[in-house]
Amino acid sequence: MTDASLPTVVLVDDHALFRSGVRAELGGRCHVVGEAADVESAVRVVLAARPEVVLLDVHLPGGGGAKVVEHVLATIPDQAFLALTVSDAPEDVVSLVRAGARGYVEKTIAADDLVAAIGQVRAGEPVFGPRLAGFVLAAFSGREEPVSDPEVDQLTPREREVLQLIARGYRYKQIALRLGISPRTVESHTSAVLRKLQLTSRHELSRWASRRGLD
Amino acid sequence: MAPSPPTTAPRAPRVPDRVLWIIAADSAVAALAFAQLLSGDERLAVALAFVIVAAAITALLALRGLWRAARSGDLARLAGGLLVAGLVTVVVLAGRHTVGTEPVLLALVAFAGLALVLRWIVAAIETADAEASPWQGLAGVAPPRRRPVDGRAGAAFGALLLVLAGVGAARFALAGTDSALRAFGVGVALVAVLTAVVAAPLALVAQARARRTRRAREVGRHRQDVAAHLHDSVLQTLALIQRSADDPQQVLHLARKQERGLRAWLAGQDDSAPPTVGVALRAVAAEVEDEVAGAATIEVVLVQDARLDDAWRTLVDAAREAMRNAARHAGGTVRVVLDREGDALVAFIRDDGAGFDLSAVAAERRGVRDAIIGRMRHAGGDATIESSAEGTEVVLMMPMEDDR
Repeated sequence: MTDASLPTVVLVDDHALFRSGVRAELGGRCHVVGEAADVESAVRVVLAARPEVVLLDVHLPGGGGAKVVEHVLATIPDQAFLALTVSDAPEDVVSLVRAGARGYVEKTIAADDLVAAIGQVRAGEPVFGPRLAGFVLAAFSGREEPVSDPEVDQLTPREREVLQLIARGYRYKQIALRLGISPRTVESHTSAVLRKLQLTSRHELSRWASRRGLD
Repeated sequence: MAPSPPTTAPRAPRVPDRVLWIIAADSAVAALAFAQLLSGDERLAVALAFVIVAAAITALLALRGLWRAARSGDLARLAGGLLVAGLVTVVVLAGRHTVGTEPVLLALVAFAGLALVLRWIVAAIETADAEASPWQGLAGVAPPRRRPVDGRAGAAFGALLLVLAGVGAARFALAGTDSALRAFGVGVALVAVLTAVVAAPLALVAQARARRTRRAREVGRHRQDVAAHLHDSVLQTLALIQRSADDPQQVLHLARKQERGLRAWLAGQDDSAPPTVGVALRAVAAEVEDEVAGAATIEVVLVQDARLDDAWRTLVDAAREAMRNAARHAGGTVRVVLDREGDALVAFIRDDGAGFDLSAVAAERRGVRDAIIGRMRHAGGDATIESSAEGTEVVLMMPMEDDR
């Protein structure tokens, strides 16, 4: 029945209206295998349906999207999550990515772009949009005090360059052209940043958040 | 007992009235009881003390009526009422030839203290229900502003008078040679204790209630603020959207504008905070979005920020021109990034429109050169414009103050 090549998706959002909107938009291009409106049911549905990609909101009753990621990853370590949120608070988005989401898109994203992002996450590539790049840059550059572990707590100049170009709205191919590297290398930089973000101590980021009056 | 309390008071509180009447009646009963138990002058003196209390409370009720009838009651009225009540007391005392002037003074002091304290309790209980602090109530003022300390001072003064009367009474009771005076002293001391016993729990209850009312009022006010804000913003916008349902661009513009406003409101944007370059850029972005009425969306990302000064104001002005150009000629999404590179603050304004050849259209787009590049260089910074088929990016660079 269902086309095996269509990505399977679970939608997690507490607004039923939004879920049905996304479901309609994805119709024919993704196979929505489950929906959930809070943390507890989200974990249950994802574990039962085993989708390729989970579309996840930041704010959820029962502890937020990060909780869902933590719980699910404990059982399925390679589950792919894509954060889909209206929140424009950097710490909201960064916290979800830190928990293990492979990317972040805004809720106002066009249907085509959303489908593309789902495909990317499904293929194991990070979805590093301009906004997320800006948030991550801000998160890493806000540190004035000496970092405890430069390997993890700092971006390399190249990574910073790549992130800034993403934030400015350049596409991977354009970035590769500008920097004289291959698109693959651009991707490996974003993946490295994502890893760093997930390894950064909780302490570091919360200090960043508190200094910016965000928590 | 003498005159019943005037019923002209707008919102006659039942509980305090009852309390006062009970005290008055108790005093009268006590007076009778003592008159039966004791003998001779002692009996008369103790009974007298309680008669004073009964008369005082009656006078107080009359006074309160006067007070409430004249909603704007002030201290002059309080003094007048006290005088009336005092006269009642003196008349009662004058009937006793055995009593000298000292006990009369003592009684007046005790009464004045009692009146103030009871008045405070009454006010506290009333105002706890009537949306004002007990202290405001004591001053006889309706909810609108009045320094709350006034009432507290009055009550404290009343308590002081009571203590003075108590001390005086104790002196009479201990050192008095006249047995009648001694008994009178005991009576007044009893009255003071009685007042304290009645007043303390009432005051506590009244205060707790006032606190509760205040909290409820705060919550109510907050809800009102939220409702007012939503009404002025979201509901208005929704109405506008319904009216322009056949104009998708206008709908988009309205929705975007409202979203921005709501986000700023939720974030509690503080107007008193020192303005930063980032805040100014966001404001400019909103302005330009409005100018093109939904034809473009401008996303501002602040990687770094700095306090706004004159040179950076130039950067913001140049950024406005760049955003205008991008929004008008390219539309779609315009991205603005503010970052720091070395010792300079850099703003990137990028669109993904068709782009243009700066040298080819130089005459037509003269404004771009002057408004952006000229302006930045004049202020000690620099600007570059890079345009291709995949978009146009304006880069504005302004060094930190020391390097300009």
